[in-house]
Amino acid sequence: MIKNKFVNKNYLWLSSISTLIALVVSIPLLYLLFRAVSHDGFIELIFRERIFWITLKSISLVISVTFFSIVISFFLAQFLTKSDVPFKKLLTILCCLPIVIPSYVYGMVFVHLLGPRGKVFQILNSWNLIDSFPDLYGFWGATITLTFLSYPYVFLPLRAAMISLDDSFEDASRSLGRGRIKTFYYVTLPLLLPAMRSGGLLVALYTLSDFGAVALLRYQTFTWAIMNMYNGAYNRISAAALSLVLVFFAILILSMESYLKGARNFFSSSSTSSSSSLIQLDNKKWIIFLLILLVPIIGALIPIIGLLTWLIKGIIYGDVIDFNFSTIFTSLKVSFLAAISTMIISLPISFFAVKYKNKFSLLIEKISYIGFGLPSIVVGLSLVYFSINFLFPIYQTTAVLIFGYSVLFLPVGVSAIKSTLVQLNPNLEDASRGLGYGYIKTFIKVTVPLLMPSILAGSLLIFLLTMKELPLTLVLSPLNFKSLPTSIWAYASEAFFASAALPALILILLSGPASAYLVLKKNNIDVRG
Amino acid sequence: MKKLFLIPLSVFAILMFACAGETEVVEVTKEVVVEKPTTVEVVKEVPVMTEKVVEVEKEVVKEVEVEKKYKPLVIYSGRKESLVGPIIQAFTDATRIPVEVKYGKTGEMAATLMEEGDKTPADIFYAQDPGGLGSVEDMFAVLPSSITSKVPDWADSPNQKWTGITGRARVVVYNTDAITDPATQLPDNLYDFIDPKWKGKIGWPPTNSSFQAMVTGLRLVWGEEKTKTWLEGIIDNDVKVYAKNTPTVEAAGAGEIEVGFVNHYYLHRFLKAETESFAARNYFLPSGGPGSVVLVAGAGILEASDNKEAAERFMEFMLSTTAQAYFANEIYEYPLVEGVNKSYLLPDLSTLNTPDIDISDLGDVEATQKLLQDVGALP
Repeated sequence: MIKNKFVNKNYLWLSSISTLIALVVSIPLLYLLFRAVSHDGFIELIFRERIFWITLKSISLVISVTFFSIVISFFLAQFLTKSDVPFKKLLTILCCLPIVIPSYVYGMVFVHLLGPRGKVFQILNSWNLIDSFPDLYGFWGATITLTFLSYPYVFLPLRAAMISLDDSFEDASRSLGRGRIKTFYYVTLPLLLPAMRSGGLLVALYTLSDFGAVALLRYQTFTWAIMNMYNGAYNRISAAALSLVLVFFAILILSMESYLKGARNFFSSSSTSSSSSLIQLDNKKWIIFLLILLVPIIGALIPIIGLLTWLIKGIIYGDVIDFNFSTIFTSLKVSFLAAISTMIISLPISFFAVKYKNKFSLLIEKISYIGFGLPSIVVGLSLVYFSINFLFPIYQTTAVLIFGYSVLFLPVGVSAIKSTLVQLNPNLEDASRGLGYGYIKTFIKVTVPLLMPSILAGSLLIFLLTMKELPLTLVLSPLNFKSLPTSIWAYASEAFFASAALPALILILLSGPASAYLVLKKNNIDVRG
Repeated sequence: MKKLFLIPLSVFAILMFACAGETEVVEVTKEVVVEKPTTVEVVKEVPVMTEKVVEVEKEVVKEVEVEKKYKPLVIYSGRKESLVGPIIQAFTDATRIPVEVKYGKTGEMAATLMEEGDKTPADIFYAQDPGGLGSVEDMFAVLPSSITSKVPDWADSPNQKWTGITGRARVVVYNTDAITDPATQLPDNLYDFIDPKWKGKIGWPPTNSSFQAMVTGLRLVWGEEKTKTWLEGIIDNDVKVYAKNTPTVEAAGAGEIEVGFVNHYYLHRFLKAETESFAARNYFLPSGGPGSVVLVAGAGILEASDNKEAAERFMEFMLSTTAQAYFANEIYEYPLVEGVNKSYLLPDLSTLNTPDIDISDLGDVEATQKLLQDVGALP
């Protein structure tokens, strides 16, 4: 009886806090509805043949990028956790690097180097080795770019899941007579599915919302149509109407994700997970090594080389390279604050979703994801409208900017915490309470320490995403605000490549250690207790 | 239980940390005042004419007093800092009026202004093109004629709400390996690019607002039918669609396309970055017409501004010979004020045979959007 009362009280608290957060993060959605309502020709704008075609293009890109991200991540995670491939740690760190590269930078460098008449073609052609180069523009170019930029969203949770995968489940399955393939299908895959799903969801939404890379790779998606409304037609009402369609797709993706039924909860009872011996690769060792290395080469090395050539060329030709060192500090500051504040609001949402699985908590969780599927300019403008009307005293302060990042990146925090929380053995918390700790004390003394690795991982991911976020920064930032991404953009979009390359390289350089930490730290702690 | 306080505490700490940035404004004003004595010192170093030195000193002191009262001028700039940053700094140096700038894309800054409405902190909106200015025209105050009279009649809005500051010509950028003799190989007007011999060789950035302004120009001069035929002809020629001007020019330089329809000044950035070896040049269509329309980047003062005097001084400064010469020589745009020379690299404005169109008419993007959608150039 007493226990029930407690549970209800907790439920009430958690649900009201989560509802409040969900309301705040649905500002972009409410704003879009509010704007789109004032659009006269809404139906005529949306239901046109060309809109149908670009919708199809968007959807096929989302499917292919998500698919390839999962395939690549599975391959990487499998060999980097379960085999004896050499330089495992270094490879793992390198494999996380692409996430720090802004998509507009990647798109630019990709075209510059690997376009049909790019630098690679020019060099090979001048040596008479080739006389044509595959045209990577369009669907495949966009797929390659976005896949190699966003697979870490899947790779990171998948790798964590594989590390904590208790081999005793697989061993048990095999000892009961199931073969390798059947064991994989019935035991391993269901255990890995939550990680693939949450990562895949982020990749899908990211692909839906990306503009920089797809535009530069000349693949016209839905977001491209929205950006035309802002920058060509100066029509924010039509932009809102089109964005509303994007929300519809985001919801579609979100409901598909819940439809894919995951594993029933398996909780390990042993205190340490047992891992059987690593797969011996023997003479194939170096082939696998090179295959793995190819991924960060495409995802990180190519853009770094491209940026370096711009910088060096600029120095040789005596360009004046403008660089303002305070941009580094500004970027670090806002990214740090964004990471902390986003994680704070992620906690109640993920707890509510995991601990009280019902339709309402599911709805709240899904709402928190929608912003991620929208072009960040839309989220930015909705918050301009909201904060100038309701938060005027702090309008155009860093506080509002941090608020904006938190709305945008909330799903990253939620998915990081949730992926561990679902695996957390509830017996541990019950034991704590059984030993006389209250709910709050149990939360602080038991649950949070157990979640710490994933809280850290989530914070770092948000930190990295904030470091490179551009459109939201431009509209919500205080006056005179200068950070690394705004400097990159200020020079790159006017073709001052050398001056754009320096802040871009610094951005990558600064983000590198963070991603290294992301990898190395997670190894040491067994999150399931 | 104790640690529970950490959560509200950290939220509070974040807010404090975040708000800490806002005190900077005060510091800026202080700095300016401190800088002053050095100016005085420099004057003092001149040993002759003691009387005059005293006079100058008095003036300086007065200026310092006045300067404390200056509110910072807030500019929303749709033009990048790499282009206008130095000249905005020069404005502050010359007038001692501190400036706070928000940089962004013209379309996004215009949308921000529309969302902000009367509450906007902005005093000035400096936009890349007439469409951007036209979209927020309702929010602008009427400019004094002392400002608008500095530019030719075609280069400001008829209701005096905004004025052009510099001109930017539409050109055909071509690859110099494929087109070795532009005078014979390229048509003398834009229309003839629908000839099937250009199939697969043309690039354009249809979402770019300057491009759309040019299409508006085509509609005004050629009429709807001819413009539609032209657009369809170019699309039938398998035109390659680029994100904006810069990648189009890059593609022309790389030989991905033979010709592209762009603004004139991007080429000069590439020539600077890649030296003369960059394999593209601009072609100013000899017979002119709507294909070589001159667009403007310009600015207006927000009606909601409570700092209009400083804003007007800014507009005057942008149309001064100093600023106009900067735009001409540093970023290769056409000066609009008489008596300032264009860069020697550019042909004279009068030789471009630009059509007789009022620049503000090019801001009417709605019908152009519709047409571009109908022919399939835009979604």
